[in-house]
Amino acid sequence: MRMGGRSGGDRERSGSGGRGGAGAGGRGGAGGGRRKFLFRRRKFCKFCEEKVQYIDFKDVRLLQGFVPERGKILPRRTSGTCATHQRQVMQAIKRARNIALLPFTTD
Amino acid sequence: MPTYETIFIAQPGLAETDADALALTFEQLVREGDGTMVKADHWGKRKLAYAVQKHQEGYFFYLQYEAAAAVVSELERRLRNNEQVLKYLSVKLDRHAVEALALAEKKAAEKAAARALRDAERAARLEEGKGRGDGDLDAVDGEGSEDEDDD
Repeated sequence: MRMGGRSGGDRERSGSGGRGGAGAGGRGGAGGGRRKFLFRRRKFCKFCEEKVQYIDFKDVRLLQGFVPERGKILPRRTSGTCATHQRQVMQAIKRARNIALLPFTTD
Repeated sequence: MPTYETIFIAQPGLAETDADALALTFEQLVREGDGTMVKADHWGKRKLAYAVQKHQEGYFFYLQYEAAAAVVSELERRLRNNEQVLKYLSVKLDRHAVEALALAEKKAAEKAAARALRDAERAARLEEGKGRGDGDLDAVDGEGSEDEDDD
């Protein structure tokens, strides 16, 4: 998959982020001007909690929680999902966009 | 044989019967190809997230079927050629997907049944003048659940 390259490196460096949230506020105290992301870091992956195996692209209401106003997909550090589920969410959102259930962009 | 799902959107300007007939032809196609239809849904007209071929609404259809890959290609080919179909998307479902979908369907059916039950009980209760209507099911005397036709 395309994402293997760059983002793979980022994930590794940030370390505790994807380990089911058990790392608590590990990255949170990054210091200085990073206050924006402090509170989001702790969120657990709600898909992992429910042990969800497949994310249906037809479930628009579920997906809308991951797509704010502008239509862009939320990054993992904001939504708190784990890597596997983030990939599934991405795939589902892209499919939904293709079938006009979700917009590509809103203006 | 693997399970697939295909969604396609037809022009909103179609009459209902035409649209249904259209969907039937595709279902037929699956059966001809030795496939089995698992599910066929008409979602009806829905607002599209963006304009497709100058339309803001579309007639959505959903098909779930078990078939060989050749059937899928043939189905897509027909969808592409058909002028009334605006968009289509076929997805191959792995076993996780099939399980999840079946489960979701069951849950939805249960929810609908439970809601229907609650509404019927509430309607019966209101008629008898109790008028509480806050849905406390443990207070049912056992007569409410059977009267579904007390309109």
